Parts: sequence; structure tokens; C-alpha cells
Amino acid sequence: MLYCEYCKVKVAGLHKKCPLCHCSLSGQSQEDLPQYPMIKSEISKIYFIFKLMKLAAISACVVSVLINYISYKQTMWSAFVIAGLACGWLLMTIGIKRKANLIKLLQWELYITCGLAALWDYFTGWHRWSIEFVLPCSCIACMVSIAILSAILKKQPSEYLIYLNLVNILGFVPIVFFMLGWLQIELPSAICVGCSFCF
Amino acid sequence: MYKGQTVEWLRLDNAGKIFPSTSGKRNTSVFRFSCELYENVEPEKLQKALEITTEEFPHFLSVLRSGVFWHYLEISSLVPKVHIEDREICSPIFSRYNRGLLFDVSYYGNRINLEVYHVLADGTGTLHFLKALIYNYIILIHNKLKENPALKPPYTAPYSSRMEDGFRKYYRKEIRKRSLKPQKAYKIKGNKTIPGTYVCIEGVMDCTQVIQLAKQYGASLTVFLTALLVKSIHKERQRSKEDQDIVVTVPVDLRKYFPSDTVRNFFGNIRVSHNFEKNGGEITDIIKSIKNGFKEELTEDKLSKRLSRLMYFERHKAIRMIPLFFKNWILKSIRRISDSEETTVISNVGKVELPDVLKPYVKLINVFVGTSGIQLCACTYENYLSVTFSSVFLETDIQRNFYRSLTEQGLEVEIRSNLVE
Repeated sequence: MLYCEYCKVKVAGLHKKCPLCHCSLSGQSQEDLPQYPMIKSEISKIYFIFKLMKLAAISACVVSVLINYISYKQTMWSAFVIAGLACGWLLMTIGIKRKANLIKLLQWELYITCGLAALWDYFTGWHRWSIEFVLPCSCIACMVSIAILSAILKKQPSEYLIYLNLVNILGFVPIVFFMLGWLQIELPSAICVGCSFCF
Repeated sequence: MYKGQTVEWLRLDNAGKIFPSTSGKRNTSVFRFSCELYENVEPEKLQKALEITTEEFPHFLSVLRSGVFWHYLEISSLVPKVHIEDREICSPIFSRYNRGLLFDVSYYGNRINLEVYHVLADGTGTLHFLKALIYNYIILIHNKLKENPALKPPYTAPYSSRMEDGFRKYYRKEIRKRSLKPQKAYKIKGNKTIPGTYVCIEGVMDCTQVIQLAKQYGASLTVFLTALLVKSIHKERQRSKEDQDIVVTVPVDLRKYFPSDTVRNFFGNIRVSHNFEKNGGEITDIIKSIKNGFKEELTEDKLSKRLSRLMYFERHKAIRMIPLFFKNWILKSIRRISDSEETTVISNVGKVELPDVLKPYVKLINVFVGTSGIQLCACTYENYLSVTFSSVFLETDIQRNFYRSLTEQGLEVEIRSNLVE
């Protein structure tokens, strides 16, 4: 049995130093296995990749602002770069947290994509491409994906129904736009509402 | 449970409602009971024993779902699987994004580990489960024991009592007015570990000798260990902070005051404190403060008032109407304030009794708890007293002071740890 002369304690396991005072131990260990198994920490790899991506994104922002400033020709196009990177970052962080539950991930990404698209549309002249194309097409894609994924992953309805319902609710929103007269191209919205009824 | 007549979902008890909102990677709210046997664990028999045990404790097979106003437990068809120990002690079990079972059984060499998320059960409740698991496992390994007439299952409470909400059963419509002045407590600081990992150190010693030593100071075991812990923390303090109180939170098993067989949470926290500048620095002074603190707080009346006050907040119509999203923020803030008013936590689970027939096969039982600072847990089995520290700090000075204060008085202590050195 290993022994620490300073703390006057016996130490079990395969330690080289005393866990209490970190001084050297005397004696011989009679055990083959350490007291607790060695656990490989995967966290450091993920942190490193994350930090690298953060650095790349911030560098891209800074470089684009510098180039825009040096070659300024009436348009602040670097604002688009920064906004685009920020949106991408948001989608990625939301996605990483929910990667275990793909269906929940899809529903969250759908809501955020539609929200961000609406904001982009509004601040770039309100050409309505977000409510005429982005919203209906992404809702349809999302509904179809959830249907396929639930079959492949063999999910019980109770596990994914709430997310499908939330997507359906968004799928019915084009009716409101239609009644407000905001839509000029109505076909994608019509298909979207139809799909919401079916799924 | 009769077939076809199972419970589908359960409300969380009063204590359980806090954990989903406040637990995270740093404070996992997971505790681990380990049982060391004299022989290596056989995984297939352990799996079979686990399946038999979960039939006796049906609410363990549930997942945590978010409702509109509160979280709740939904009984699940997931099957728990035993596995070799491949995770850090008290690593997170509950994940908001990956709904699984809220407990985990693993093995390593001759040791069975049972890790439970605090929402399911408290220490005493989990001990009932652990004892049933050990019982089922050992009689699978040693079939001949079944013929022994002295062999009886360790926990025979009726099924409905096992899942009963003790807080709801015993609360009364009275409110204890708590002083709103925040109690400033000394906070331990240091370099922290990677979130989700703890520095765990265990000291195994002879229980009779420790109790005799405590009696020399006129204290019970818990009071004595608390006093030693307070002295160990004080030794590491900066001089400028010596005027601050050292406040120790002590979870109390309410089943001793309000009879209940429940396996779910039924505990209350009391706080005892000692101020070195006002009340002296000798071990006898600390024991006196702690003893007085216990005497004042550990009364049925005060515990009942505290229970009722917490239930009042839970059942208040205005509070119930707040959506879960906001409740999570509110509970997090309340927890942060509460954590700032305590220095450390000490939890004495007490003596673990197993049927005499099983004692020759079980060597030791110990407990670790995930915490946001440093916590001491004590557990007695036969004549072994296991005192464990789980800490988020890399420094082990407090633990060193504690164990040295025991070895200096002639006690023999065996240290086990998950440190890699």
C-alpha cells in the first residue's frame, strides 16, 4: 500500500504523488488497475475547432471592412459580409446544441432562417422574396424532411409531433399574407399551405 | 404495478422543480453511490438485476419533459443498460437536447456505480434503490441464498408510497417570514476544473474511532465533521476575509420528522455558520457554534414552516401562471443568490444497513455529489466511514487540512482519488 509521510495517509490505486499534498509517495502499490478509469477528454478538440472558426469569422469581418474602407465606392458591402457571418454563426450555434435531436434542430433552424430572411428582405428594400419563396419552400422542405427522418430514425409520434406541429403553424402563415395582399407570386405559398394540411 | 395500469406522467416534487432550471455542466446536480464488492462485477447479471429493480421502482424509468408551466416526468419505454465506467464521476446526465433516462448504472472492477439526477430521488430514496439493486444482483450471483429463510428484500414499502410527493403531503398553509437581508458568506475561490469534471477524494476510516473522537469533544459525528470542515476552510482563507461567516448548508432528510416511504425528493436544507472573529477559532468554539446551529434549526416546527414556505411559492396562483421559459430565469437567479449565501455543503447520508445475509459480499459503500463549489459527503457501512470530497477546484488544500486533522489525532485514513498523478 502506498503511503504519504507528510499527510500520514495510506493511498489506494496507482498514484505517484499524494492526492492531498502532491508530494511523493513511499511504498509499493499492490493493485493492477487505477482506482478510477482514465477518461479521454473530447472537450479540448471541440473547443479548439470552435476557437479556430471564431478566429476565421472575425478575421473575415475585419478584412472585409478594411478592403471596403480602402476601396470605398459608395456601398458598405462589408456590412453584408458581417451580417451574413453573424447569421451563419447563429444557425451553427443553435444547430450544435441540438445536434442530438435532428427533428428539433430542423424546426429551430427553419424558424431562425425564416426570421433572418424576413429581416434581410426588410432591410434590403422589401422585395418580398422572403415571404414568397423562402418561407413556403423551406416549410415544405422541412415538413418532408421531418416525415422522412421520423421514418428512418423510427421515432414515436409523441417524440416529434410537437416539432411537426410548430412547422405546420408556420406553414399556415402564408394565408395571413395572402389576406393582407402582400403576395404577388402565390404558387409556392399555396403548395405550402396544402402541405401543412396534409402533414 | 398491475399490467396495463401504469402511471403515464408525474409532477415533479417541490425540490425536484429547481434542478432542471439550475443544473448545467458546472453544477450537474448528479450524485453517485458506489458499492464495492469482494468479487469482480458480472455485467450480464448486473443488467438482469437492474431490470428486476426498475420494475420495483417504476418512476426511475422516466424522461424529463418541458410543460408550459413546469417540467414533468414522463414514463418512458427506454431500457437502462449497464456499461463499464467510461465517464467522469457525476458527469451530466440530464441534457436539454437529448432526452434520456435520468440515472445510470456502470461497473468497474469490483465496483457498481449508481448515478442519479437529483430530480428523480434524493440520497435516502436512491439508497433504497441501491440496496434493492445489490440485493437482486447478489441473489442472482449466489442462487443458494434464496433458500435462506432470513433473506428478506431490504425495501418493502407499497408502490404508491414509493412515488408519493412528501412535500405535498405535509405542507400547511402557513408562511414563515424569512428575513430578506442577504447573509454574506465567505466564498471559496480557486482555479476550476473543466466543466463537467470534479476532483473527487475519498477517505476511508474506522467509524468507531471517529465517533469516539467526536464524543471526546461532546459532539455527534455530523457536528464533528462539520467543525473540522469549517476549520480546514478557515486555514486557507486570506486574512482580509476572516471576518466573514463560514456558512455550511446541511441537507436534512425530512423522513425522520415527517414519516414517509417515498423514494423521491423529500429533504430540506438548514444552514449553520461560524464566525471566527466573533466566536473564536479553537475547534471547541466551532463545535459549540455548529451544535447551537443544529439545535436551533433542527426542530419539527422550523422544518415544517420551511417546507410550507417553499410549497406556498410553488402553489401561488400568480407564480404558477408564469411560463416555464421565464421561470427558468427566475429560478436560476434565486439559485445564484442562494449559492452566494453559503460557503459549502455537508451531507451525511448516515448508516447504510443491508440484510445480514448480504453483508459478507459487500465491502464498502460511498457517495459523491456534483456541486458548484466543494462538498463533503459522509456514508457509513458496517464499521467503515467514508468521507468524500467533490470539488470544482484544482487545489486540494481544504481536503488536505481535513484529513490531516484526523490523522494528527491518531486515526488511520485510506485515501482514494480520481486525480491522475
